[in-house]
This record gives sequence, C-alpha cells and structure tokens, in this order.
Amino acid sequence: MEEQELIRRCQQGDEAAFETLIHLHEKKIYALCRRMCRDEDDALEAAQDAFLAVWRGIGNFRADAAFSTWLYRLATNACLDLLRREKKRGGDVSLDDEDAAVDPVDAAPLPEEAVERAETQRMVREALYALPDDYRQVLLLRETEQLSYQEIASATGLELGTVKSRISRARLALRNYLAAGGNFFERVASKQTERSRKEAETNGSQRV
Amino acid sequence: MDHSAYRELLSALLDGELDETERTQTLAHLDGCAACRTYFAELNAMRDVLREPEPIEVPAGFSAGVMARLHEESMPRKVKKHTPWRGFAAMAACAAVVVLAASTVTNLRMGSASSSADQMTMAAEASTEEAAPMAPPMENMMIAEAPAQDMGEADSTAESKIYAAADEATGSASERLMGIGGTEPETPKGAESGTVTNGVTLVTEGPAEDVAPSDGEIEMNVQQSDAMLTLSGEGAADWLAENGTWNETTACWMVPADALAELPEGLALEGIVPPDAEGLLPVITETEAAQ
Repeated sequence: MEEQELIRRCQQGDEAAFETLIHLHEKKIYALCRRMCRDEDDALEAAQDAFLAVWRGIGNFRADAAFSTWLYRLATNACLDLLRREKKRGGDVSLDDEDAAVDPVDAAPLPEEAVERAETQRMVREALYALPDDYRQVLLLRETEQLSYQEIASATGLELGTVKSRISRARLALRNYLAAGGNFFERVASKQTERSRKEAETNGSQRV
Repeated sequence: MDHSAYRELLSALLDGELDETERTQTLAHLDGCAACRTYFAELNAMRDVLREPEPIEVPAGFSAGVMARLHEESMPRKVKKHTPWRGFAAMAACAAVVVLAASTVTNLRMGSASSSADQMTMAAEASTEEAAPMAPPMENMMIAEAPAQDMGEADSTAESKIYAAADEATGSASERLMGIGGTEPETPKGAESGTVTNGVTLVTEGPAEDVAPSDGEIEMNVQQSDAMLTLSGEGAADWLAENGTWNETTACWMVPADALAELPEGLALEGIVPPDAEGLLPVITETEAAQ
C-alpha cells in the first residue's frame, strides 16, 4: 500500500494502517534517535514519542506536505525534548552510560581496516554526543539523513540562514573536538593515503 | 575576509548549497589558502565517517510498544468525546492534574505579580512548587511524562474542587496542555482589577520544567463551565507561544479569546461547550456549531 493511502487510513483512525506506517519508517527514525541520544533507552522512548506524535497529529496532516520531513521534525523534537528533560533531572551521563554507548567488539578478530574504521566511527560518535543537542540535530539531518538545507529548515522550523550557520558551527565544533581529543585526522589521513597507494598499485598492475 | 569567515562558505560548499558567485569566490580562495584547504579536507574526512553505515537495529517489538502506548493514551480521549463533563474529570485524572475551582484559583491569582488582569479569567494550578520555575514559555509547553505521583501532593484546600486522581493506567501524560478559563470570575477581594475579559487559561499537566514546545498536537483543555477544547495542528505550540501569556506564578497559559477568534489556518480548535458557556466563548461555540 502506498504511503499516501496509509496516511489517509490513519486519518480515519485505522490502527493497522498506522502500524504499517510505523514499519515503513521505524528503522530510519530509530536510527536517527539512536544517534541523537547517547542512551539506548532514551532513543527508544524518543522514537516511540515521535510515532505517537504522528498519530496524534495526523488528522491535521496535509496531503501535499512531505510526510518524511514532518516525521523528522517530530523525531528530532522528541529527542530534544527528552534530552532537555534528562538534563533538568540532572541526568548527567555516567561512565557506565559511556561504556554502554560503545558497541561491544565482536569476538571474532576483525581485519585491520575494519578495526580502524570502527575506531574512527567511535571517535566521531563520541564527538557528536559532545555537541550541543541542536548542533547534533542539524548535522545529523544533513549528514546521515542527507537532507538539503531547505528540508532541514522545514524539519526544524529554523530559518535557512540559521540552518547554514548552525551546520557550519556544528562542523567546526566537531572538528575541534576531534582535533583536541586524539589522532582522528591523522588516522583518517593515513587511511586515505593507504587507499590512494593501493589504488595506485592496482592501476599500475592493470597497466602492465 | 579572514579564514573564519570562510568556514561557513566551505561548509556550504561541501553541501552544494552555494550559489554560483559564492562558489566561484570560495573555490578561488581555496586555491590560494592552505589553511582553508586543510579545513575543507577535515570537513570531508568527517563527512566520510559520518556517512559510513552504522549497524543500528530497531529493537524487537518496537511498533507493538508504540501501539501499546497509543492505547493507553487514547482511553481518556474517547470518554471526552462523549461525555464532556465527566470526560474532563477523567482526563484530568488520567493526567494526574489538579485543577482548582474558581474560588481557589482567584486566590492564587491575587498572589501573581505578573497576572494580566485583562486577559486572565481564572488560573489553575498544578503543583505549585514544581510547576512554576523561572523558565521561558517555550521551555514550558510540552508535557512530558507526568507520573501520577508527581501531582499527588498538590495542595487541596477546603474550597477547591479537585478533579484529579492518580490513575496508574495512564501514567504517560502525552503532549497535552490542560487548562481552565473563560468563565466569569469572581472578583477577588483586594485584587487590582475586577475587569476580566474572556480568555483561556492553560495549565500544564506536569511540572512545568518538564515541558517544551512541540508541533504535533497540543490539547488545551479549557474548562469553561466544564467546556473542553482541543487545539491541534502543526505549529500549535508556536501559536500558543506567540498568542498566549505564560504566567510563571500559576504555571498557566492564558490566551485571549480575541486570539482564538483568529486562529490561523491549519490549527483547529474543537470541543464541546456546555450551553451556559456559549456566550463567553463565541469562537468556540462557532467551531462547535460547525461540527
């Protein structure tokens, strides 16, 4: 069934259609919430909040609007709200939480390149969590969701100019964090050099 | 232009969001500036890593969890539609909100330095201590979880009617604003002004520090001789922030009836108004009549 049809049915109170609509978008929305929230339980709660907000608001959803943009809006708002509440509760992350945020390393040994990639990913993820929540919001919408500035403006309710400057500031903050906190750029640079070298070798052998 | 001024341009260049002139200018600068080239390379490197796929699995039973919460939250709604008078009590109960009756509320109002007498009709209170932090309105609009026990200790003075109870079945309060207002208030003795026009006073369901803006749907349950109204639609929170007045002392939103008369497109106000309240909130009466 097409999304438009599902939405129409949801507007008539069709819960089965709503559940199908959730299935269509849950992966994307949960992943976004997971990247927004350090804590796994928070991510789950925020993602559920987002879909509940869909159900509550779908009666007023206009067919000509982009559903995915609206969904991004509800999801990131749910995350920001939840993170704000957590902060007010004084719920600073404990060391345990930090550990929990790091995915367990598989028992099977990984190839060196995969280890390296996992490490740079971990560094970026940590840096992302260190950003102000509203910086992380726009940066994720841009990078992982790959929305345009205009779409981000729609999803966040921010002015276009604000989107542009906030993304830039978020990147600068992320870059400063990574530069200060270790050897991220060296690692990435060496990986790129390695890749270039391999490519050169491959090209060379092809020529022979 | 120094390097720092180019950061935003480089960021937008990376995103393909520059117009032709800016793009040409930025690329020309990049050619002659090693520092900016390094920065641009760093932005690229971060992007590469950010865009690498991460194995994030949706927890099992995710949609079932949403549906379960939906059923919890929808219970009081159904009651509301059919029996507004009891419905209000039911909803208040489910949200664990304590709404004080007019007599008590006007007393509260007297103690409120920021009361706007021409807007205010009544005030409602939800746990005085928790509900009135020094927070700006936008911080106070969304309802979070409002566990019943949060509100359970609200002051219940002798003259107040309390429409509240702890109901564990509906611990999740959802994004609702509950409010009362619009009645012809008793003029409190000693109050500066007894002139009060129509308006809607909203009170948050949970502690005010737990609330924040949201654009999904906001329900303003307006008790107008037990009238109940719902404001819904995208941008409801923004509209409320613009047109309403947040009273920190009482942790209430107050919305003039005039503003309700000019609701922007996309926002809907609906509800059931008892006959004896129709004259006070004509807007709402019209909405109701249209249904």
